[in-house]
Amino acid sequence: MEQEKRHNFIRFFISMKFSMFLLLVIIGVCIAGSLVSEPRAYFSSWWVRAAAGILCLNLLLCSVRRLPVSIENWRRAKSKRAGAFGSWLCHLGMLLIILGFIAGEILSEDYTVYGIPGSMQPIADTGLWLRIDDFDVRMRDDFTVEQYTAKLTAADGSGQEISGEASVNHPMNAFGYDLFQDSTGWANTIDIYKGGVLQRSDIVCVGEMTYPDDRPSLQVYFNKFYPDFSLDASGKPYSRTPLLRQPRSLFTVSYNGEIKGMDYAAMNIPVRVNEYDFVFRDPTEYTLIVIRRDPTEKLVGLAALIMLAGIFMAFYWRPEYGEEEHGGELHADET
Amino acid sequence: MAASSMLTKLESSTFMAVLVIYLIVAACYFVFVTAKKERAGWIAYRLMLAGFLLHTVCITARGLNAGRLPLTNQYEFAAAFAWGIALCFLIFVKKYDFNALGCFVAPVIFLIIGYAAMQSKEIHALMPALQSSWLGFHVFTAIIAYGGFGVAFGVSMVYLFQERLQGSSFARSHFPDEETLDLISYRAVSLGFLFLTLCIITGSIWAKRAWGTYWNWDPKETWSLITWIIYAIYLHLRLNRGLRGRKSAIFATLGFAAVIFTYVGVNTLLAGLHSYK
Repeated sequence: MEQEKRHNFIRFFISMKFSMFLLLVIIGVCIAGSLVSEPRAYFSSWWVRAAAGILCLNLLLCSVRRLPVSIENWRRAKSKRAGAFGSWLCHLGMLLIILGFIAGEILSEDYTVYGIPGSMQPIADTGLWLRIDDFDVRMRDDFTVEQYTAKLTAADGSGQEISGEASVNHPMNAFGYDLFQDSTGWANTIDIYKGGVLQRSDIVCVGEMTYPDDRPSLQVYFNKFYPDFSLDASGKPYSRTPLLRQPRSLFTVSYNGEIKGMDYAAMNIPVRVNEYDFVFRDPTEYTLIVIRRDPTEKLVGLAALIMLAGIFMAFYWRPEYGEEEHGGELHADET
Repeated sequence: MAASSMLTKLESSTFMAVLVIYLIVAACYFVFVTAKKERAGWIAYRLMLAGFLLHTVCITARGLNAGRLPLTNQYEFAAAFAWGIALCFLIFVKKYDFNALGCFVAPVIFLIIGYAAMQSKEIHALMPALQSSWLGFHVFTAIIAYGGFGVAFGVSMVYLFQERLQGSSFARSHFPDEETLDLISYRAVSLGFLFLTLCIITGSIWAKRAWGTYWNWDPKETWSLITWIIYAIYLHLRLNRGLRGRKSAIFATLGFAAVIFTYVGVNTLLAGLHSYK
């Protein structure tokens, strides 16, 4: 009785009915996932992975169960025999894509480095360093961006260096990692004076903070940068062009979370907030480089090719069995 | 400058002509099937051919004027989407001698080109992420996929509609039998499915080059996957469970609703990496 129950469960688990049910569940999961604000986090959740895992197991068992049928069809076919494996290959490809994708989520390495030209930083704990030699934003006459290009040098601990360029759609490869030109923004050098004495001088990017003295409770936040500052009719600030014509920096000084002052600073002109003078200078565009390595990349690429070949064979390279046997559409035992 | 202005004029005049022609085609097909006027069907098919040729001229003029493939914003893709359905329609009509199919496909083509007419036609230079040779492969495969699914939708609608006309001499001479209708719908879905798979794969390769990950769970990607799964279920049920006839037609219609949502709904309701206005 117990054994029969187990067999019934296994039969159900490898049945097409269950596969269809799983696909419907995945459609529901995807619809919900397309509505959430953080889809990557949602699709990385354990229960989405569990659903994908169950689908993988179902695909694997179905593929194993159907292989003898495909072999039998291949044996019986008079021509276009390879087509007998079309559906099987499609399922195998799908299985490998899902497995590769899950493995990629776990095994891939993903780092970011950002800085202005001339800066050099370690790439997390990889033992590699990245120097940003140059960064250029090529613009058209209408100020739309044509291309972002970063000239980079990657170095390992032994002193070996690899230099190259990374631009959008053209990543650079160094030491087995792909380096992507991801995004850009503005940085200023901020000098902070107290009583006429320089307390601190930092290169700060928009969205970052610096501290006038050793008290972390006193913070200077670099809110926004306007390369060509102007005010619209309602008095709202905006940048007329992306060119450095009238640069202004918006910053906020806060103490223990309470805002003490907020102002627009022109370059090289001190702005006083309480007992501090802030000088913003040398506006420079920084670049953010994403460094990635995915060991499953080739597997997923191969799996995609297998699946594509399988779909093509299933629909357009169907085996021919001769007159006495069925032709036309695929039949249940062929899939 | 003069050449650009000439191309702009050529594009806008052919676009307007195409819009009007597809409207007339849809009306003629309606008259053909509902009033059973043979002449209207004859005119509709020839006008559709003329409309398709002008549509090709319009897209070519746009491409020459922009100096790139005209497949990068809502207007350009809607125009190309309608072109893909028209192409698949003409191929299927020729292959199966099934002109009455236009009764349901022509209105879809008109609605999509009408949607294109409501979009901004301004030509913008490509943003860096779109400057890739993968753009052509990716969007072309999407156009053929959507075209195949559009034809399958039209055939399915004919299937559901012809049940009302069953037995009439008009239906016998202009509609294929139920089995053939079912087969045409299946063939169109198979074509669409193959090309949608290609579209997703080429998009993934491109995403890998541009952003470093081949899948970002962007709403467009997610809805393409949903569409792909819906048609995968359709094909499984058809091949393994003998899904045929009315149920098969309803399924193909639902699939096309997902296609339309993936194209229009996602672009307008869900912002993401593919929101190129």
